[in-house]
Amino acid sequence: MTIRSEVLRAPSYFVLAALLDGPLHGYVIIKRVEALSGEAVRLAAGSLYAVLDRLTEAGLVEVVSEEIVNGRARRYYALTSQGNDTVEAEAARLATAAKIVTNQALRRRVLDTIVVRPA
Amino acid sequence: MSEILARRYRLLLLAYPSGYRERRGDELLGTLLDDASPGQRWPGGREAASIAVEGLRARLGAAWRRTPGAMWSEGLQMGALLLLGYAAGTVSDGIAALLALSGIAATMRGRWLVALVPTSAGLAVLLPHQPLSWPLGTAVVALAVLALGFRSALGFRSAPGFRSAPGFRSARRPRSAGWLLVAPVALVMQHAPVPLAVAVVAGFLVACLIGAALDPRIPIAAACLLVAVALQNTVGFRPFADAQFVFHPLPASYVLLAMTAALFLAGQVRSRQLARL
Repeated sequence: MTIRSEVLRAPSYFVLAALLDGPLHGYVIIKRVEALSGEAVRLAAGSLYAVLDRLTEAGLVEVVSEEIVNGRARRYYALTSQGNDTVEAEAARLATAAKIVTNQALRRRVLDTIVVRPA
Repeated sequence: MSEILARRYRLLLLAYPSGYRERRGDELLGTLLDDASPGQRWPGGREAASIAVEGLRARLGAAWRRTPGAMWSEGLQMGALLLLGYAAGTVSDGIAALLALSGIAATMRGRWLVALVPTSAGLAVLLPHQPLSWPLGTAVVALAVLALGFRSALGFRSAPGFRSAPGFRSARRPRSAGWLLVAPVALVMQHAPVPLAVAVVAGFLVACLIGAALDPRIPIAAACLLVAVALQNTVGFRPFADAQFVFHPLPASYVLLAMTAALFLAGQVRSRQLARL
């Protein structure tokens, strides 16, 4: 089985998706990821920061501001333009994959071009 | 109330290396406290487990994303160090032990070709007196694979977004001096009482299982050591003075070889998974 390495894992995908509407700090990212994924992805804080470290290292996310609220340190993360492109490309890939299931006419059309039919 | 919880979370955060805590500790604590329910005094189980796992991965250096090729080269480097340490601690010949130690020094610095010289010499020095030393033989194979650059041979390509690509450079980072302890530990183990040896074998297996989840380099390195142990007990080869080739097919050897294959497979699967963003 071959899966291209640029395909995002679910936590990364939903973290990037959560940041589409503007910069957020850790706790809000956790809550939005939970809501956007229909509670399928529930990130513990340790996992969230591991995901943010990876995304930052890959240049998809950046820290845009820091502040202290009620004595608690907060950093705000935002998508970089590369991050925006990556999550949009992944969404397009997933949309195509979904259409193959939901749209029978499209499925037929794709299969007709490769001429593979059941015996 | 939240001070007690904060103090307990701070204790848990000791799982992370100090550099990471300085950079991220306050922020992580802030997020943990934001997520806590009012009146909560103890860290949640899920949060605690995630801190323990990610902290350990940060300490092992496994949290950095690498290409599968880089994971393999670092795993093989650690495997070669284990094998050389085991050989240095267990061979009866002083010169061979010294050669194995110089092999360790060169391998720690990522100088595969330089390391191949004393390692092969150690192997040759022992051959007239005893059957082929499989730990040294396997170390030679691991170092040769590293020197030949197996990454291109296996067709691993670096994907975009890897800051540390090309992978080989990261394996060439010198390893910590702690690896020098491999030889004396192997020596102590060789003369350890049986219950301790059994405990160490059990600990090794548990470490492999945990290691496969945390860091793919651990199963790869462990498999290098296991394959040598399996071959040492199964295949005897003496090229000098009427050449002998002895094969003892013990059931235990097959178990060890099956475990080796499972560990290599686990290393491959995990390094591919962790290479994804």
